[in-house]
Amino acid sequence: MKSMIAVAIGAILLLGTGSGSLAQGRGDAGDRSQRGDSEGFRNTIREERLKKPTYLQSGQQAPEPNTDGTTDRNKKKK
Amino acid sequence: MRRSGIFVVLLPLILGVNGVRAADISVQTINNENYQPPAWAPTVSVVGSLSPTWTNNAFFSRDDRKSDWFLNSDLSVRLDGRLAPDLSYRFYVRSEIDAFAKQKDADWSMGLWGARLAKNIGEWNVSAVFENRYDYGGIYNEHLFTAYDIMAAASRDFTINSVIFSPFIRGRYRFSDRDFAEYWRLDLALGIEAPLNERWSIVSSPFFEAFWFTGGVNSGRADQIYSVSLGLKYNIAPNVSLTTNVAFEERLSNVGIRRYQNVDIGPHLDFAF
Repeated sequence: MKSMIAVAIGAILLLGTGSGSLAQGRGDAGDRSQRGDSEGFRNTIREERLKKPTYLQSGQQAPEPNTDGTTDRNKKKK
Repeated sequence: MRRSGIFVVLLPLILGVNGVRAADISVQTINNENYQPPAWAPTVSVVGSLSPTWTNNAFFSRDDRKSDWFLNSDLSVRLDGRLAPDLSYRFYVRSEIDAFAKQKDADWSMGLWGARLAKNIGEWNVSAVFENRYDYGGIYNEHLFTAYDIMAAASRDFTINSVIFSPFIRGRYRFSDRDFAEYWRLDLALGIEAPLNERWSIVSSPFFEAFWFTGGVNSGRADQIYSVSLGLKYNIAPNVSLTTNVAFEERLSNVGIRRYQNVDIGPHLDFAF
């Protein structure tokens, strides 16, 4: 009987320790994604700038805004 | 004389017909050259970033700092389209990996798919986003959690004396299959780009993030992350750039052990095709 109680107490302690380490591990698991989160955020900010031309090639003229729906070549023909 | 007279009469007609044909070909050529897909047609793009980076705190630990090199790879495939002139949508998949040289326990990776609806309201671009994300320890090795993020964001650009400022605000709630990963979160960022000449510019991306965890062992935990970065950007092409960057990040938390400071230094190759 005593041995059964000892086994039961041992099992409870083991489970308790296990769940404790699992809980701690889960907290760490959430933290492990933090670096990727921050890197991903910085990457997104930089990538958003990529498709926006913030510079012109040397000697290149800035394109005129096309507000009347015609093409450049059609404009020349006119 | 009669033959030459007929030829003189026919010549303008021949030339005229050829002229009309030439004009037809020219118009067709112009149409082909100027062809633009219909506004509703979706476009596919590949956007990514590749960066070998040195960090002074591989595990984002308060007490046990270990420096190391790691390779950050971040790749997205996007499908963009429009539902209306000022209402756009995006479907995307994204993969990100951190592979460390020595501290293999810090290896991390994730994959996600998402959908975004964006609308211009005044000068601001406002969007609603859903993402289904899978986080892994190691390189797609140990599944950490699956998250479902619901987000709302707004951003715009200001240009003051040729310096471009891009404020960004985003709020979200994260649902997850693991309760410890669930939280409310607020992101505030300011992209800054100061062109020096045609190709070089100074860039900075300060941001602030606040987390309010709602579940499991993290219930009641509140974190705040402050990050500043400074870099020199070289535009290789309009859609390819190389940025050398130094970033400092500090996390404050009401759980003492979750505080950390971190410095990352490294070049980033960014591309969009």
